[in-house]
Amino acid sequence: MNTSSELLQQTSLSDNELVTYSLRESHYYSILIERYEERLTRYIHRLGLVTKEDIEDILQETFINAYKHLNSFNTSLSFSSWIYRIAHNQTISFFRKRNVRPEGHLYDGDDEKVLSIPDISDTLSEVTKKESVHIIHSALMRIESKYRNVIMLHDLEGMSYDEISDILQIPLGTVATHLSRGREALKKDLIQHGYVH
Amino acid sequence: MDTYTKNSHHSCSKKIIERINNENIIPRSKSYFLATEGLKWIIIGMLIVITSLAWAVVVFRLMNIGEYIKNDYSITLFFPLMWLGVLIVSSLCGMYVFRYTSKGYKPSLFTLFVLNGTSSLVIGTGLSIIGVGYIIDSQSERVIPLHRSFEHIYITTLNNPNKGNLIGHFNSDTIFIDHKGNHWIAPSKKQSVKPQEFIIIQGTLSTSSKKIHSIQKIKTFHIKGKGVWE
Repeated sequence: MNTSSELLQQTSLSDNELVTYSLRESHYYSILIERYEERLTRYIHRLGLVTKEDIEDILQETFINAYKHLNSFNTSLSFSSWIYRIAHNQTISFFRKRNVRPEGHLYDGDDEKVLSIPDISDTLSEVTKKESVHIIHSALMRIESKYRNVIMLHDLEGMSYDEISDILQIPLGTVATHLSRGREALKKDLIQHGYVH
Repeated sequence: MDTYTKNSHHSCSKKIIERINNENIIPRSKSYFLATEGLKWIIIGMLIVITSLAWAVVVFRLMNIGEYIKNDYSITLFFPLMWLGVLIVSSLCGMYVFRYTSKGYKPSLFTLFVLNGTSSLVIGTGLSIIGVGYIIDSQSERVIPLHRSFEHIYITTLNNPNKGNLIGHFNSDTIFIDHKGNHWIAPSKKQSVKPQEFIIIQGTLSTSSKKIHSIQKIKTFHIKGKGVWE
């Protein structure tokens, strides 16, 4: 059994250090799981409509897959991007198996983030905050998934261009292009649906 | 709006660690990943070599195609198509191999196609110069159905004594052996010979690509038949 000081010491370890220790002892891997569990749950949920059980299944497969491939992880890179990439692929694969198109959904606490998507909420001055969130979210679900994924990772998950490039496996320039085009697509959609004049 | 409550999920780390322990899941060894990565590179390398070899044959044929056999399209069709086919396959394999890079950067199919194509052109031309093109071309007749080697086409097209053409090689200054093994006496140009007694051959063919290349430098010899026409 670990003492509280040992636990504190272990949780202060960096992701890459924990990966190295996890290869020796699986116990360290639980710290990594706990560190990313909530963030990945949110991300999987944002990617599409899934039940609590489905999320747990996807999460389990994500962490098990990552554990099996720990030796292929390049410690000079970010573990966060790596585990997000696995979760992303696992979720897409889940939807593919079910022959369902992933349509993103919001998580508790996303309202403020949705409203902070640059140049979007300002255009919806005549509606209430709650309505704005609903309108923007609906528009977000209608745009192409390649744009939606980048907007979600950048504006909702708070990822950097570098991290998004690693997760979605696209060049940095494409990340910037997709983000800009995605926001444009959002605006166009709002105009088309009569929310912006 | 569909939302997911923050508190509705609970830690699954315990379940995962239990599953890892119960199913005895262990991380795959580093050597496994090194081997799979190495294998991918070997496959890519092999595909580039095959592409280069196909191009070497194309170059060999283009360098040696003479005016007599220009109309035989099969002579240039197979290997260019093979070169293109292997180029496409190797570029697609390249996309698979390079799909995970340090920055998540995935090179485009076009980039891989150009890089692969260029390297096969350079390597293939080099291989053709050192005679590999000729070897591949002549050996491929045995393994590729309906494929005729350049040498085969050349011989069947040009070896026509009735038209005054023979294909073979000199084994001395005056003895010429055609591809069927018939011996012919080729007197020196200074010797006086009656035209109706002699057959004219044009050039020589031997087993190296250099010799085949020299066939384009048409030389006229007067040869006295010691074989079928004697």
